Amino acid sequence: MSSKLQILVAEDNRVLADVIQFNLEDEGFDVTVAHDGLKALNLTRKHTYDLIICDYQMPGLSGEELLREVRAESMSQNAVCVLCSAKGYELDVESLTNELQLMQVVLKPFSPNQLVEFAYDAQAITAARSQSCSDEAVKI
Amino acid sequence: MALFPTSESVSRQIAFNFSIVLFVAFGVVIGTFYLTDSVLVQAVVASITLLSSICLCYVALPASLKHHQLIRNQLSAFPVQEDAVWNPEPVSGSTPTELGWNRLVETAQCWRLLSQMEQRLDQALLGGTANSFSGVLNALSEGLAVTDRDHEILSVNCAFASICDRDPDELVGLALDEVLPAFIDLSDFHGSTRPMMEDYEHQDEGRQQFLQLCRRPQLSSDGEIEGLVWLLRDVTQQHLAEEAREQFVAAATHELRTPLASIRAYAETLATRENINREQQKRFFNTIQSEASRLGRFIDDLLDVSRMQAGSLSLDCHETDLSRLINETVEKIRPTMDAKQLDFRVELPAKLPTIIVDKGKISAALVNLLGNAAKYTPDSGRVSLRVSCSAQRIELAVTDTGIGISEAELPSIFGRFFRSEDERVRDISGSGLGLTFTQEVARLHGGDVKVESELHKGSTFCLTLPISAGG
Repeated sequence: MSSKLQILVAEDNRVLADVIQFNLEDEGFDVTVAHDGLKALNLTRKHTYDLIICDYQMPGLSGEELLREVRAESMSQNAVCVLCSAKGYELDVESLTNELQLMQVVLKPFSPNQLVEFAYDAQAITAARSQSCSDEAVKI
Repeated sequence: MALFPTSESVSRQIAFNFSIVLFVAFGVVIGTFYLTDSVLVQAVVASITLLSSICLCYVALPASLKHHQLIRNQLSAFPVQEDAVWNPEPVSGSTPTELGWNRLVETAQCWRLLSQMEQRLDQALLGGTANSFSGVLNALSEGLAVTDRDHEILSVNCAFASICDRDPDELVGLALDEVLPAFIDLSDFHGSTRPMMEDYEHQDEGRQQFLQLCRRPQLSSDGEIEGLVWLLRDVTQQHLAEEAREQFVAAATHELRTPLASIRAYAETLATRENINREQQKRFFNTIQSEASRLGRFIDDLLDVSRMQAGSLSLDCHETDLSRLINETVEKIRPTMDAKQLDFRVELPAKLPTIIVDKGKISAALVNLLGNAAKYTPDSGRVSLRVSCSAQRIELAVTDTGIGISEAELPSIFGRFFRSEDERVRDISGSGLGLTFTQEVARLHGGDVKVESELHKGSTFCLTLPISAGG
């Protein structure tokens, strides 16, 4: 397993996906980009990601559907998830956060540095989980 | 003093007038005798004066007499019975008697008109009450039913019967809950003597219906319900309009936030990241510029649609090189085609005429058609722009191998804020304004936009412009 934080960015807006990837890679994270929901789902079934940043509205599979599938069955079931959206009042942020165990719902326009902060948080969570797993193994 | 002259008074009047005329004539004759000694002249003047005086008395006075006789005749015809018709006629002349008579005739005519109006009103109120009242009720667009307190129908108007999909005559005597659509539950109205209102929503084979039912009890003096008046409104159109408005706000929010997200992300990246080389910097600045343009275009679209709604969208027409306009537009849209690896082909005739159009709006209309083709065609599909030209018109046909449009949705696609129900469209951003704008622009130029489409196969949108467009 790589020591770098593995991040999947699922965003159909290629222009925005590029700049998110640039900022996260600039911080040294390992970033994979998928431009639609189905491609992103396939990736989560083949690889383990620590952080998934996905857009709410995407062709193929919406962000909500993608994360529901990821939580149900994938190699990234435990990934920290952030949902980005350009939608307005029609989004039920609270129920989405609870149901999909999201770290955050971010409304566009957001700051790329905010996503970098999330990545560091996800890194800390992943590290804590690893530590906890190691401790369990030692006890056994 | 008698108002109308008797034959005696007329004779006296004639004698009086005659004596005055004779007195004047006698004066003229005497005057002539003093002024000249010629017997012949004196004899001629005296004869002419006497003859003129006699003619004046016998020609002018009989006219007055004749008018007076007319008045007398009409007065004698004044009816004794109350409901008989009396139509007095005015007479010419300007004596006080004649003027007074004419005033009387005018008053009588007004009276007669008033009497006729009164008769008609009486007929409407007495003879035709039932018909008039039901006519008013049937003219209402809202359904109205009157029931007794046990909900047995006493009367309904046409709108009520129409909403219930029944004939008005067959409803009287039936129970209201047998007649109303099954999804309306009258138990919602039980146990209250106050006016109440409930909304109902129903969906059947994809058709949505929204009904609003109001109940207003008719209470007796001791507060008991004697009867009920029901108002049934079909508010489906209002609901659909509200849904369309909400969809538009959601779509507009998305369309505004998306380019703004890119602008903010790139600007912050440029401001805060240090490891950016010059080439990257240039690319980032270009992205900010193109996203700002996209934002500007969307705001322009919103304003244009707002102007369309107000009927004030105008054109700024100039002679335009059509080949150049098309090539510039194609270059604008090419990056979008390339991003989806679409096979994008443009077929232009060797020579195209210059045309008088609003260059900006035609370019925007073409961008809309090509942008839609790119949006709704899966990656690696085909999009073509074929331009053909005849002596009268130019056709720009945009064909794609995209998801196509269902036959049911084809008539609606040019409607404002229309978004397809197709699941594949749901996740593709769009304001639902592009085609509305494109068609409006084409029509303002004297052209049109037509569409042919087959679901799952693709679509062809054909923008036609007359050669003399905008001229």
